[in-house]
Amino acid sequence: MRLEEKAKFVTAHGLVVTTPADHHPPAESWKVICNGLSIPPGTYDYRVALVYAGHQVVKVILRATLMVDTQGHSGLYAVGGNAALTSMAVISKGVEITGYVTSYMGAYSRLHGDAWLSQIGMFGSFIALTDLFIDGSDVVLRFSNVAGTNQDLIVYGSGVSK
Amino acid sequence: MRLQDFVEHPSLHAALTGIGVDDHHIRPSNIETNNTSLVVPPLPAGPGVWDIAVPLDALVVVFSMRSILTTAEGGGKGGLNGIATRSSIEATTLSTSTTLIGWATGTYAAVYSKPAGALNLSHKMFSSLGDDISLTDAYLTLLTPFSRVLRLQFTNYAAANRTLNCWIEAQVFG
Repeated sequence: MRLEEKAKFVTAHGLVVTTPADHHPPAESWKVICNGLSIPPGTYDYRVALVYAGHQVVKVILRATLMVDTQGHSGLYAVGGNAALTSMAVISKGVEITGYVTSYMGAYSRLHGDAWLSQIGMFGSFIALTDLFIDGSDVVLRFSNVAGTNQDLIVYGSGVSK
Repeated sequence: MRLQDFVEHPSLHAALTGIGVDDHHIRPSNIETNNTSLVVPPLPAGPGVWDIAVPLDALVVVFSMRSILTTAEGGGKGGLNGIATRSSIEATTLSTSTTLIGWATGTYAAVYSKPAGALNLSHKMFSSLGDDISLTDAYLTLLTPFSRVLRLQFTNYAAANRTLNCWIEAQVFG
């Protein structure tokens, strides 16, 4: 392509007001399937490798195996950015707690200083989701096992990042 | 801009010749912020307005908010997920809150939709008392010809001033 043709092309698309960062990678969707992975006490990063680096936002809907009273499963919707400790989750439906009629719901914000993004025990005995963020070309779902022994992580779901 | 600058730019991106006008959209961005100081007067005074800066070209924002209103079970807080556009009549949210009627009745979820004519976009859960203030509107608007904001409007249903108290994560889709 000749020099002037290149210039014409760029002008026609208004590129003069954009930067290389505007040419970001396409969105990706992915699934989460973890049926009983033994994780030690403390934090455990479940990583999803993306095709592209440079994503800025991530969203997931995670499903646990705990049944709720409408015969569905408990779970949550969470959003995160490209840094830890800024994620937020709103539980769409929690588990029924014995002794009460109702099910549990709640919103959690790491920005606000919440320690968790879910109930402890939602994703396996003593296991909660504690953070969600993009790290390079990985999505990190950070779980915490608060028990003194290994516990089995059980989580399913879908996510999208862009 | 000089001619050579025009040409230099596309050389940074492979296969630029296969890109159309619509591919040059803005990069997604994640915005985390909070507001614990906005004083919202009671009705019939106007709503409290909280403007959050977004990219000028932003078209769609999804957002999640957390209040300090404790839900009935387990100590979780009320909050919502929502979608906002440049139209003030398109926002829709899914809220989780408490009935406030009694402990046994517990928590519940509700969907509010401006296209359906909803007066508010949330339960009354965003004041420093954990009650009284509702999210009423959420849309993208120009502040100046060069700056755009996500405008959140809050209505105070109490009899006296209330202070807003909420945390938000807003994600600009494009």
